[in-house]
Amino acid sequence: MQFMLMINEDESPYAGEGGAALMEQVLAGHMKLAEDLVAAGIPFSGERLKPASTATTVRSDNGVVTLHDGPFAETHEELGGFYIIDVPGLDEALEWAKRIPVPKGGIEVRPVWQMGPEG
Amino acid sequence: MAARPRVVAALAAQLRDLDGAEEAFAEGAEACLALADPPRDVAAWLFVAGKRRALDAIRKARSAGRTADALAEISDMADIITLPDPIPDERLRLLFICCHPALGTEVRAGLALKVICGLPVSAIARLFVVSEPAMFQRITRAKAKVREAGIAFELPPRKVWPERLGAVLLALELAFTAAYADAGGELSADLGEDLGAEVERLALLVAELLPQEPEALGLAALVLLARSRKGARLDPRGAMVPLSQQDVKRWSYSRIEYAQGLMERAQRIGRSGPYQVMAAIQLTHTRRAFDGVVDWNAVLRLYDVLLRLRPSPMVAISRALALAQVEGAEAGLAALGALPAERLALARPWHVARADLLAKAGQSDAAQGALDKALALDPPRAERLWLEASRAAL
Repeated sequence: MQFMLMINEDESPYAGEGGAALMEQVLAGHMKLAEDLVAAGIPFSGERLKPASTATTVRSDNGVVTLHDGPFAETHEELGGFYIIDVPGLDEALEWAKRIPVPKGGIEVRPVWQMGPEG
Repeated sequence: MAARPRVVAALAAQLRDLDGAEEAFAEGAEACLALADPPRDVAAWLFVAGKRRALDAIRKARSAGRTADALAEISDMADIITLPDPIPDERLRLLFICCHPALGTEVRAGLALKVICGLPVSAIARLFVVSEPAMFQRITRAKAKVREAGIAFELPPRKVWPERLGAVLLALELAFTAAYADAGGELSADLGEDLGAEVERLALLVAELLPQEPEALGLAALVLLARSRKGARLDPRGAMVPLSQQDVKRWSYSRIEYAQGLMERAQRIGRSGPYQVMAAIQLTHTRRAFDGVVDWNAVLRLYDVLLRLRPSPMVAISRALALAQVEGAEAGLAALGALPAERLALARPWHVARADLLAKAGQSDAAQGALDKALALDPPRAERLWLEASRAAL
């Protein structure tokens, strides 16, 4: 079954001193993870997102649509990227989630809704 | 019903659905009670009847255009008609599902007691001191998460057992602590369910299923030792009797022996842990029945170990009480004094321990004040009667 692994992390460590080196290290970690996923034969996709400062949110309230400058929720941990992996179950998804490099933050793991006859 | 855990677990493993397994079991049990003669093998009968009913339900649902592939998940009719003997033991699998770390700590024990033991939600809610609708919602949500979030119905691979086992044992410990707090048995009497007995059954089940896990054995021993004092915990007025004053003739020696056997097995495996240490402390107290005295030096050393393994204010309070037995009330009071008093202001054991040591140190007024504070914190009836008697005796 498919799971989305959402990387919610604090962006500030990358901006501070040694931020560039940290970013390099984390990116190397992602490259390694991608290689491991390929080696394990696990179908996956994923993207890195630009910082939350580039986000625009489209809000709807009873048909009234407004635009907001900024991410969906203002927190100190922002969605920085995601993976979608296809594994047998939650336990395997959690194991992969633990291997995602995150200096400070968390990974939300959620099953992807499977489109079937029930829609 | 004694057959429940095995039958529900086998149904859940087959149907891959907790609600479906519970419903199938309930319907099977109802049909079983309606029989003129009870079946020879109740568990096997219930399993087959339950499975047949679940299959019917799925058929109906399918003809209504839902759950198209659910039917393929369960084996065909032929296998249902032949009696499997014995029915597969899936209890461990079910336990790992109910106590999956992806479920909240506070709901795992409740889910296990509901699904495995069949305890009604009203009893579980009272056990964990939440409202019935709140507990119902928690359990419903947990079941939905098991169903939707991809929690596997397979037994996890052995290498992840330590992590998973921790979740199982913590769930059991919570249930045990809650059941043990009901010293007077008021809750059990109100509900018509012996909650302590259910938790004991579950703890023994875990020890039986995981005989190579010393902490599972330790926790089962701990539960047994606590339960062995059930007949001695109350005086005729219904007041709590503290451990040191209990009539040892009223302890259950079959439980004590059973616990001792479990601990010896755990020791042979050779990996110590907090539950084994807690059980060892309780077993040391039990020696009073044989030696006439408690080896407080041993108790103190065990609390020192426990404090390192699992530091908590409650362990520190118990350690201070043991220290007082070895070095005197003043030393115990000094140890209590080193704890963060303001953070413990709402903890009854803190005031009770202070009252005990202050009284022993001859400071009656201060002891009385500490008892008043404990009494103000709304103790259960049995404890209140004991505290009031202690206060009157000062």
